[in-house]
Order: sequence, then C-alpha cells, then structure tokens
Amino acid sequence: MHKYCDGITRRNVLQIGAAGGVGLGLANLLHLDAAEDSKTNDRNAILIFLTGGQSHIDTWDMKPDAGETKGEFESIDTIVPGFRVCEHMPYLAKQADKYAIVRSVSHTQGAHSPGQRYLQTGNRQIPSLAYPDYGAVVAKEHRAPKGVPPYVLVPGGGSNSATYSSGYLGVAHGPFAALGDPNAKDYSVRALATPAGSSLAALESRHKLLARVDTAFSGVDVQNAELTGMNSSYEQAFEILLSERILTAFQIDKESLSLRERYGRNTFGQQCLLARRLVEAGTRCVSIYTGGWDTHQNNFTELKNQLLPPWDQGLAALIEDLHGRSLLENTVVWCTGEFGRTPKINDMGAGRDHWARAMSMLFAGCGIKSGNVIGETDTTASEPVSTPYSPDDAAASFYKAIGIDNHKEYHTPDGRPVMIVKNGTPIDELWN
Amino acid sequence: MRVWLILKFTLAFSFIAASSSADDAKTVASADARWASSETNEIPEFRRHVVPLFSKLGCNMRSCHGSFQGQNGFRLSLFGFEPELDRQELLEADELSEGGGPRANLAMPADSLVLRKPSSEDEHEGGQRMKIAGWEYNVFRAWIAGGAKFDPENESNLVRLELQPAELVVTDRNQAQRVRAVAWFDDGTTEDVTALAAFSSNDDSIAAVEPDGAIRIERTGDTSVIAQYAGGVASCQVLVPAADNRDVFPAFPHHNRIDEFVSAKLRKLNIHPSELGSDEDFLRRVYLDVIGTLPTPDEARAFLADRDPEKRQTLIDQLLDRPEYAMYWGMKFSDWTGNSKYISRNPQQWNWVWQQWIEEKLTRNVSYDEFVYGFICATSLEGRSRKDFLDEKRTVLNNIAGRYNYDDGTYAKRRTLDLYWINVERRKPETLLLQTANSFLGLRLECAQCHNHPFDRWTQKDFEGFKSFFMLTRYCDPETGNEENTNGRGYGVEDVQAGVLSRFANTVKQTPPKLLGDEVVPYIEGGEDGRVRLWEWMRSPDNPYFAPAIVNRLWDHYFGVGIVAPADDFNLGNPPSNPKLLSWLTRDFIEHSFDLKHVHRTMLNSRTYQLSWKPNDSNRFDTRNFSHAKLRRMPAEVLIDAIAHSTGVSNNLGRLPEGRGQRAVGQASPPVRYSVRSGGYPMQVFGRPAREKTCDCERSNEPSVAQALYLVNDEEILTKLNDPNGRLPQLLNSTEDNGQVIKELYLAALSRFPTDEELRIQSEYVEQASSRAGGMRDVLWSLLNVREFVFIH
Repeated sequence: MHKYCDGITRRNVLQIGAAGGVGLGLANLLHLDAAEDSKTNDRNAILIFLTGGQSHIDTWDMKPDAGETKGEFESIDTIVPGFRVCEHMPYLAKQADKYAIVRSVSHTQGAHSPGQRYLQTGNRQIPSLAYPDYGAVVAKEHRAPKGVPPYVLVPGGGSNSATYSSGYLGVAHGPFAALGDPNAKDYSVRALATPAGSSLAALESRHKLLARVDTAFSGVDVQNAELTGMNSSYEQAFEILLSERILTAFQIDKESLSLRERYGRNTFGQQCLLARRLVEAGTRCVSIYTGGWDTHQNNFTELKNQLLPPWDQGLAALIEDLHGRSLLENTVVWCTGEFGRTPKINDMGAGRDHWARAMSMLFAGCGIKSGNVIGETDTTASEPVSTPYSPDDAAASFYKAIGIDNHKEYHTPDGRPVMIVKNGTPIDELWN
Repeated sequence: MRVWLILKFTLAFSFIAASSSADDAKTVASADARWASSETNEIPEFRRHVVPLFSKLGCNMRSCHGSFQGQNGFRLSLFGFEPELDRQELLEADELSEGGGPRANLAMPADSLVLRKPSSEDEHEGGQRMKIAGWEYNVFRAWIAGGAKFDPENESNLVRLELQPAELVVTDRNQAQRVRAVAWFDDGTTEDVTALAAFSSNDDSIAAVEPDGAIRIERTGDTSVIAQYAGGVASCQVLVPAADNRDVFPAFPHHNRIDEFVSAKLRKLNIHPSELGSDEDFLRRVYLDVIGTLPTPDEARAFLADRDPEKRQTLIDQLLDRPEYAMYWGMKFSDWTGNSKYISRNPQQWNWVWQQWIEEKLTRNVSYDEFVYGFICATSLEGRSRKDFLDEKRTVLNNIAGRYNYDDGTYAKRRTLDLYWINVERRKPETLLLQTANSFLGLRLECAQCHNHPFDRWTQKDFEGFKSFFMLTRYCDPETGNEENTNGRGYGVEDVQAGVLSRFANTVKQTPPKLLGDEVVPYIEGGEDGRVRLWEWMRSPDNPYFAPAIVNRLWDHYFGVGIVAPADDFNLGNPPSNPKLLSWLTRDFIEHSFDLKHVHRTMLNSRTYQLSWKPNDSNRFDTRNFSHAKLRRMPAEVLIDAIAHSTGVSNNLGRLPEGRGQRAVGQASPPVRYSVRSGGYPMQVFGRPAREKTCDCERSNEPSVAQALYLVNDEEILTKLNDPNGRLPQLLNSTEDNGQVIKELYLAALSRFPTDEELRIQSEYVEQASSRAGGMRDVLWSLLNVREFVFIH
C-alpha cells in the first residue's frame, strides 16, 4: 500500500448516497437497466493506472537539452524512427509500433485525490455528484456473459491504493475487486473456488431456498443504496458461482511458465497477464492499479530500480501478447497516472513534485493508429506547445475507441440528466 | 480575535446568526449600485470590493489565476487570501502580453489589462467575465484611478457575514426566491454584498443558487446555500416542504427533547415520521449498536415475552453496563484516535495497550473531558518520581514480552496515554495536529496546511500557530531523563516530558502556540505545560467544536448519518441539518459534565432512534432528517462476530487477552496487510479501516460482490456451518422437533421467531433434504444470507 505526500483522504470514494445525496432510488435505476434493450459490441478495455503520478519527463517525454531539469536518464531509440524513450524502457521501446503516446495532456488538478478522480472518470469532481469510473460505464454499456463480472479491479496486494467508485451509476455497476497478489504462489480469489465436499447442485438448492425465505425486506420500497447494492452483489455472486468461466480465468498458473516469465514474475507483470485472461473470459473492463509513482524523493533511483523495470516489461508483454492473439483489435489499452511531475528537481532529495500542466499517456488497440506520437511540450516539458488536450479529451478518446458515445446522457437516481463526459472531444490524431 | 468573533456569531451554540435588528450599523449602498455609473468618483476598497470581485468572477480559482503557477504569467492568491500579493501582481507589467503594459495602469486606467482582458477588449483565454462599463468594470477602473491603493491598517475589516434569511422555507415553489449576503465591517458600516459574494449549494438537486442569489427549487428536501465573501463563509438553510402530502401529521409522542427537535424539522418539511419500530427490531438494533453483538436466544426470548412497558429503557441501561460496551466503543475510539500500525515498531502489542487504556476509561465512564486530557496532556512520568515510572514501565514491558502476551491492565490504569505522543508517525507535529483536530474537534485541517481553508476560516497562519502546541514535548531516555532523538520506539523506550522545549525551541519561540481562532498562549521556558491550556480551551463550554464533535459522532453511529455529515467535517460551508438538535445535545452533554453514557442513553431512549426502518410515502427519500431508521450494513467486526454467534463457532483470531473470547469487535490490531490468516480476510472485505488516514471515511460499509461471495461460499463460513461443536449439532442432539430447532436458529441469527410461512418453508426443506443435518445446515446458511441478517434494521 502506498502513501502519498499529503497523507490525507485517499478514501475509496465509495460513500454513495451518504456523502453527496446521490445514490437514492437505485432500485428504479436497476429496473430501467433491465428494461433497456442491451445493444453492445465486442470491444473491451484494460486500464492501467499509475497511482501517484508518473514522471512524464523521465519516461515518454524526455528532454535531453533541458539542462538542470533534464534529470539523470538518457533516451534511447525505439523501433519507430525519431521516437525516443527513456533508457529504462527497453521492452516498450521494442513494441513502439503497437501503441500511441499523447504528450500534450494538461490540466490543473494538482492534488492526488481530485486528480485521480478526474483521470479515472474524465470529469472534474464536483461536490454534489459522484462520477463513475470508466469501468462502471463500460460495465453498463457492454454486457458481459452471464457469470462473468463485467468490471474487474486488480489492485494487486491491497485495495487501499485504489480509488474507485461507480458514482451515480450505483454499486450495481461497481467493480469486482480481485484482491490478492496474482504473483503469489497459491493465488486464488477468495470464495470463488468450490470448497471440498460441496457441489454446484447443493449451491443451487440453497439458492432456491434463500429466494423463498429472504422476504423481510421485500415489498417495501426502501431507498437505500447499501441495500440495493447488497441485492445486486448477491445476484452477481450467484451468477459467478454457478458458471465456471471466471474461475478458470483466475487460474493464472495454467499459463506456461515461459509466458509468465515474459510478463515478469512480479505483481504488476502478473496483473497484466491476469487482465488478458479476464478479457478472454468475457470481462469487459479490467482496471489495474499500480502505485509508488509519487516520487517526491529519490525520483531517479526509485524509477530506475523499483518502478520502471516491472512496468516496462509487463506493459510491453501485455501489448505484444494481445497483438499476437489478435486481441488488440478489439481491446483498448490505456495507461495513465493522475498527473505528470515537475520539470524542476526539488531540493528534498532529487525528487519531482506534482505537475498537472503536462503529462503523457499511452493508448493502444481498437484501431488507434500505432507508432504514433501526438503533441509536443516546451523545452522543459512544462507545458504543451501544441494543442493541449484535457483529461476530458483523453476520456472521450477512450470512449470512442471502445465504442461508447461520450455525450450519451444518463439520469442519476434522482432524475438529474448528466453526460458521460460532457467536456471532452476525442483526440483526432489518435486515428488520423 | 476577528476570526473568533465570526465563529461565535455563525457557529456558536445558537448556530443562527445574531439578529441584525439589534445593530445600529450604518448601511452603505451595495457595490453594484454605487458603481453602476462610470461617472462616480467613489474609490472602492481593495479588500472589501476588488478582491472579492476576483473571486466572484472566478479569476482567483485554482483552475485560473489562483493556481500555484498562475495563468499566462498572471498569478492571484488562491481565493484572494493574500490581498497585498495580489495588489503587487496587479501593479506589475505583464510581460506575456503584447506591449507588456501594466495590469493596472495608473496613468491611463482604461488601458489596464485587468480591464481589457476580462471584458474581452483584448484576447482573454478565460473568456469575457464582465461587460465594458458594467459595474464590475467600474469598480476595477475606479480603484485604479484612485491610485490602486491597499492600506490594510485603515481599510475596513469584515467582522461578520450573514445570509438573509438564515432559513428559507419555500412554501410556494412558483414564487421567486432569493438570498442576500450582508456584511458587517469594523468601521461600523454594513453593506449588501450579494453582488460580490460567491454562492454555492450543497445539493443543487434540491435547490440551486444563481450568482445573483436567486434560488432555483428542484425538488422536496432541504439543503444549505453557502456564500463566501472576503474570507467569510455564511449559510442559509433552504427547506422545500413536500407539496402533495395533505395527511395530518401523525401522533408522535415525545420520549425526550430529541423528538421535539426532530419532529419540528419534519413538520416544516411536511415529512411524516415512520411508526415506532417493533420490539424485535428494537432488540436487534440496540444490541448491535450498543455492544456490537447479537442477543442470545434466551435474551431475545425473555425480552420479547416481557410485558413491562419500561422494558426498552431497562435494556438500554443493562447494555450500557456490559463489558462489551467498553470493547465496542474502545474499538470506535481506536478508530477515531488512530490506533494504527504506526504507533510503534511493535504494533501488535501496543495496539492492545492502547485499546485497553481506552476500555478502562470507558468502563469507569470517566467524563469525556477527562478522557481527552489523557491524550492531549499526556506525559510519561505523570508527576511521579522517575523510579515509580520505571517500575511501571518494567512491569508493562515484562507483561507484553512475546507475541501473545498482554498487559494485565497496569498501563490501562494510567491517567494519560503517552503512546499518543510517542507514536512513530505522529511525533511529527503536523501529523499530531491533524489527528488531534480530527479526533477531538471534528475538523479536517489538511487544506490549511498548504493554503487557507476554502470553506472555513482557517488560514495557514492558524495552522502554524496551532501546530506549536504539538512541539511542546521532548522525548527522553527513560532511565536518565536526558533528551534523545531515537525516532520513537514506543512507551518505555522514550518518555514524554511536557513544557520543555527541545529541537523545536526556535520554532516555538518564533511562532508561539495559538488556539484555533483564539488567543496566543505565551510560551514561558520552564513554565506551565502549554498543552494544558489547549485542553482547557477545548473543554470550555464555549468551544464550538469539542463537545459537538463527539455528540455528532455518536449520533452518526446510531442514526447512520451525522447531524453534521460527514461526521468529522465541521466547517462553515457544511452546516448541521438540524442546528437546534445539535446545539441542545451539546448543551445537555456539557450540563451533564461530559457524561458519555448520558448521551448514549438520551439518544437510545428517543422515539427517533426507535422508529421503524419501514418508510412511508412522505419520508421515503429523506436521508438527513431522521424520519425513519436507516438500514445500515453491519460493520466488519460486528458481522464477523454475528456469524460466530449464529453458528455457535468462535472465530480463530489467535490468542487474545483474557476475558474477551474470540470477538472480532474490540480487536486492537487493524490488519497490517491483506491477510487470509486470523480473520484478516473478512475484516478487509467488509471494510475495516487500517486507521492510517485521519478521516472517519476510512471505514467502508459499501457492499460488494466479494462480500456476497464470502457469505455464500467462503470456506470459513462453510467450515463454521459444519463444525461438530457448533450450535446446530447441539440443537439437533437436544430435540427431534424440527420446528423447535428452526425457531432457535431464527432467534440466534435474526433475534426473532420465524413467521408461520417461514417455519413451513424451512420445515419442508429439511424434510425433503437427504439428511436432517444437511437440511438444517442449509437452513442456518440461509439465515446468514438473508439481507435481514447483514443489516442493522
């Protein structure tokens, strides 16, 4: 679990209803959902969130001539002519023809919590409304096969570094959090395995009994987000347990040892591999969280020794593997943190601080033009000199890639109309 | 002093600003009228008119020029908290603009960039913010023409900001509604500052507010509209009564004063309370809420059969006297005071010492102010000789040596918890400050650490002054009493001494301790412990935070939502939903000498607490007026114990201190990491906090699929169901009567008898099952999985 510099409210933004007055009448929402004609397509998403804020100037947006602010790293060639990346990203350099980088994203939310929610929803936070994660929207728009959770969170180790919320969509569209370290020896996701001595038939029999006796709260219209959430959690739990599909996906040790090595035998590498398995099983959006990027101190040693190697190897292996299996055609991969980091190297011990005015992100798959570097920042990577793109634009691009209209309007449980991402326009250069 | 005055007026126990009629202040015309014409010769004041206009027009927001980097080379202080800096910035030339003219051109005011840009005469990335020759334009122009002056000594200061009306009850939704912001200044004038104030609504799905103070009603309910002006914050409660509810307000016999304040508010909103809850609901609710455990089948049977009309009252008294009360509330206070893995390098043992210290105080029901003294004014020696202290220390260390050894209560008998100060992480003064402000004052001061608090009075200066209270200790070698800097390894390794300056000496001399919004406490070397003054200030009956914070937290626990919500976020922009209720509870608490159990008792005995969870048509959407009991998922620890209780199979939490059984409630050590051992998994999945953040929000009651999967199919649950020593096998052995067994199981898990229908379904199920034991096991499984089980209702 990673702590940030400010040490404050990194709550899982989960208090739906209690906090913002939203989340009322979820029951109605669910009814609406059920009645909706579910048109869906075959596109999926793997989101990789670099919690804490990755330094753009030491990764995707190197500035060899920036003098004092350049930092300790040198750049290397990628297989795409003219596109150079950090020397500690050799694996990604080799896959550079399979993804696109946007270097000109800029915003103003320079604190972790608001920055994260902004980058995880495409909407700036406002007090009266909680916006849903991308995964929650995808879960609502793109149906998963029965028994497969449409939105799976792979926090890798603990859930506390992950801020996630299904916001006004309600907990019914929230993530299934697969706790635990997929790199651990006997990795299994709790309560999914059928215990010894039990059987599916026994479970079905219990399920039927439960339906008949769980009546105390029936017939009373209680507007309570926790209750509605529990109802839908139970529904999904039974669907998951009564199908085999997802159980198999979590059996990561069915992969060959060589492939597991290729992703890297560390938490992040195996998170990536698990994400691929889940998408194959029918999950529509997998969100991976990987922390530690808040490098106020020892930016260079942390990046070089701890952060970049597993990230580089795992992400490159994921993209290559998806490509090799033709999964990249219908799976969008998006990797971003909440902001970039200051060009200025601070005096507190070779660190870089929060910097939202410029950041870089990676997109791949679903027809996004690969080998493509979009946008440019000034000589110190402080600000875009090309057209700046907002996180809203990045979110709109993500939704375009996955086939969801970012201007689609939902109604919150209390009847308020709200667009998925109102202010964003897809970044054209990702396709043209 | 100014800050304190504002506080007293807006937040003190009336919670309603003093009536303006009593004032004899001279009223001056509002800015939009005074500067309506460009001909006026009047010169506006910088802090009073110009800076607020930057806020009103959105110039000094974080997303614009208020950002730390500024915008296009022009930087304003965030929300206008530093007027002098803003003025200097205005007088500077703008190098990024064409021609590089000054932002405020004294020679030719009309050429000032600060006029040309926001009026879109020149290109402005932020768009047009005002019209040429409009009143806002005229204010800026007149100020520049007057020499662009700022004289902080002679300009008027805001002493009070009010929204009028303070409460707006909207009976006719078609009629236009608006609020006015009125400001009082120390020069004896008062001014309508509606045009200068920035407005916001805490819930614009109920009532939204326009920049001119007009209120737009959206639906039934109530919320607060907030105005911010010149660093002042004021609020107006907007109530939108249900229009279509014509029924007569139901009979609502008051049990105590709480019901009076609750029903008064409900009447205003035309919302009807639900009926009094059933005995079964009350029984289960009060057990789970007060002692975090379910009644045994015998206790349930006895209570339900009891005909005494006073039986609810009697039960409340009994529960408050049980040892589990101290365990459960010890856990709550451990949450609130941050009993985390950071308190020592050896947290396993010391978390227990901390928990036991709290439990000892709660068992004796020491007054709350005395309890808090133990945190705020802690020392290791507590005025005793070093030898006595060392004797105590050796005993404690000896007791807790080894992984599964626990103190015998030696430490718990101490008056003060020096662990609070010794604590590895907390010995940083700012961490201790944030923890103390949150734990005992219900404040979140994180904002003020870096810049002035946007929704409250707290400035960075307030923060720095308050921080000095947490620099008045030094850490010493216990054997010698000599100061050392050993980075805190827990009680006994260092001792905490008060009133002696150490490594912070210079800081404290420069910035003497200053009470929040109140006076400076001079530091005298070798003098009295300054922390005692802090404590006295906290417990003073006038303190607007100390008593309300704990009363509100208790309310939040029993009703699922605080009167101030979130419960630990008191600020001027977050007013209480029922100010009179909170102020009465506070006063009553103080009048009863900070007696915690008295507050518990008052809340529990109220009709409001005992209402049914079943809503009616008028209160279904009410979430903040306590019209019906809120369904609340059990906290992680309570749920884990309820499962153990229902199955009759105890948890497996390792060896615990004596007399606690295997209860998860009152477990001192929060899970250090996600772990499948020792009950760690359900703790995690059901949202037990690690107590690492100074925020009550760290505990989560949000449902998830993983929770349902745990209850349905986790091996831990299935093992308990199959345990040969569990409740079920014993019942099966004791009687052949299936109905009898089913009734006992319902009493154990749901604290009630099954209905005839339930009894029939469950009996049939058992009869058709391949074995009686197997069928009954499924019956018990079903009782752990009905929604009624996991919810406090």
